[in-house]
Amino acid sequence: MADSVDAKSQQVRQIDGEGSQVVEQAEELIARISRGDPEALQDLYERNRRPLLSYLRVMTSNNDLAEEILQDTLYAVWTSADGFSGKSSGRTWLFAIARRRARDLLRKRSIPVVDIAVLETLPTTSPEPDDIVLAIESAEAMTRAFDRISDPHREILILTFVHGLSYRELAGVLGIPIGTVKSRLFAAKRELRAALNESEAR
Amino acid sequence: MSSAPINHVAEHLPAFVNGTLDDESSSAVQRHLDNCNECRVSLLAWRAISLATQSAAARYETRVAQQAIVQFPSITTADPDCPQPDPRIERGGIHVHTLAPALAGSVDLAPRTPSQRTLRSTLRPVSQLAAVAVLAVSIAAGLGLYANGGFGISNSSLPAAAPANRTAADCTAAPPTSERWATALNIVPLVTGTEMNLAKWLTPSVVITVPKRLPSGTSIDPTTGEQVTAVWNQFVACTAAKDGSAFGLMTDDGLGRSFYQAAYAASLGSMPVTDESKLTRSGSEENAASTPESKPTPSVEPALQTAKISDLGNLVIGEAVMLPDGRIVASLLDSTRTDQTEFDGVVAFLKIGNDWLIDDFYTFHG
Repeated sequence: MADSVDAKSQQVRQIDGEGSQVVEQAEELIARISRGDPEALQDLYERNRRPLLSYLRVMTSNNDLAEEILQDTLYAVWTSADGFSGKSSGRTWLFAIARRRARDLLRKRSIPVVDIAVLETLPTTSPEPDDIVLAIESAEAMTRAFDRISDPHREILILTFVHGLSYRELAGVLGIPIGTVKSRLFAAKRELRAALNESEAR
Repeated sequence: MSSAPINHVAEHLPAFVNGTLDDESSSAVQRHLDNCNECRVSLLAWRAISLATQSAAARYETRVAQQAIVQFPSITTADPDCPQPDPRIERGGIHVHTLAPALAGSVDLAPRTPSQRTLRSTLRPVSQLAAVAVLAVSIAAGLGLYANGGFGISNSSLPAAAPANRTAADCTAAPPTSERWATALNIVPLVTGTEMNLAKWLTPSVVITVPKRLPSGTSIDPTTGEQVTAVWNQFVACTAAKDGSAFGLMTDDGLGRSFYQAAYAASLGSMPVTDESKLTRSGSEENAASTPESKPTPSVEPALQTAKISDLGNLVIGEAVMLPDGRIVASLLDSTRTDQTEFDGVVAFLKIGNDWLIDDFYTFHG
């Protein structure tokens, strides 16, 4: 079964000379930025500021740091837009830059970045028996458990369920194969379940 | 009777839940789910995870914004003269900065092309917007700034003397619960980007014309006047408490306006003001608000440069009228002013159950 191909690629609405709405893709804005068009950068910023900031806040747990990385990200967009090949969607490209900037900054400031490789297992194709635990757990307990899972797992859940990225987009943003995207999602689910069990055992 | 499914669809369920499977795949998953109890349980698990993730993200955003709002009163106290906002100066715990002013002035961008030289002039209006955004923080905290023309007050129907007993110790309200914040703000659509219309929150809900006068409405009875005055006095006392309890005296829409104005200002995002809410100037019909194409509001900015923050503790209720929508709008007077020729702000009250709550307010000063 195929994943959708960047089905939610970002769009920006503009008004043309005759007043009708023209939909401009993020990819087109990036192309304009590569030609040095500052209005395109401003449009891209206004359209993506909120989701990027939301994502970066979760990544860094620090509002000021998130703001700083957002500025770095947009600066990187400005200086490297001509490096956008169009193989991924504009949104994937933006999130990927933001993620790299965040990880670079966290490393520079000696904030530990979890090595996800040790956390992941093979992707599953079958339902897991303990899913019933998650299905019937209260929303409050689930939300509390969410706060206790590792950053990479929280990150992929945020990108999937808050920002609505497809597997392909997730692969592009996280820099991992699609198979690893799936296994990471399932590892996140298992960690969530473990966090729930842990809190019940207390 | 169908046979038991062999090829489960577990690996596709996260994409099925977030709606990123293509139609064909989604139909195939749905067909499988119709016949597979195990996968249906897994689907419920992923839906629960999806909701928990969205709830956690919304809660985090709310927490960040609440911190910004609660911190704000200390900023205005520390900076009573409110110089022209510098978007990269840290004030009272809020580090106010954003890309646009950084591009416009504080950070030197390496020119991509000769046309890059136009960047600063293009983005300068956005840095002006940052100034307007700082204005919104003031609105949210009850210490707003605005400037307009003069208006002679006459026939005040409510007492204008500065009341006593409006200190933090007199506050009896409780801050809104996290659940109420979450309900009032309905933040998930905004976080996810599915809801982009913020004009409802970022623009005043009461239209004040220049020369300054209250909107048309009917007079209110003295008892109601005393009730809304008491609510205002509580609001002043609770704002002094700086613990968020003042927000417990606001309607859900009031919370929304405070939250989004402060949140936008804290990050200095652009404020999508629309034609729907206009601050009109009688006679000329000049708009102080603007369309997205002309987001910076030059008619406001000069006022901002010369504005001074009034002391919320000195603001008392002046005239009040009931609007057709059932809200009461009252003028706010600075009781320390000896040259009281104009009112200094407005506050709108809405009755919820038996209580009058603050639905919106902002102050003028010039």
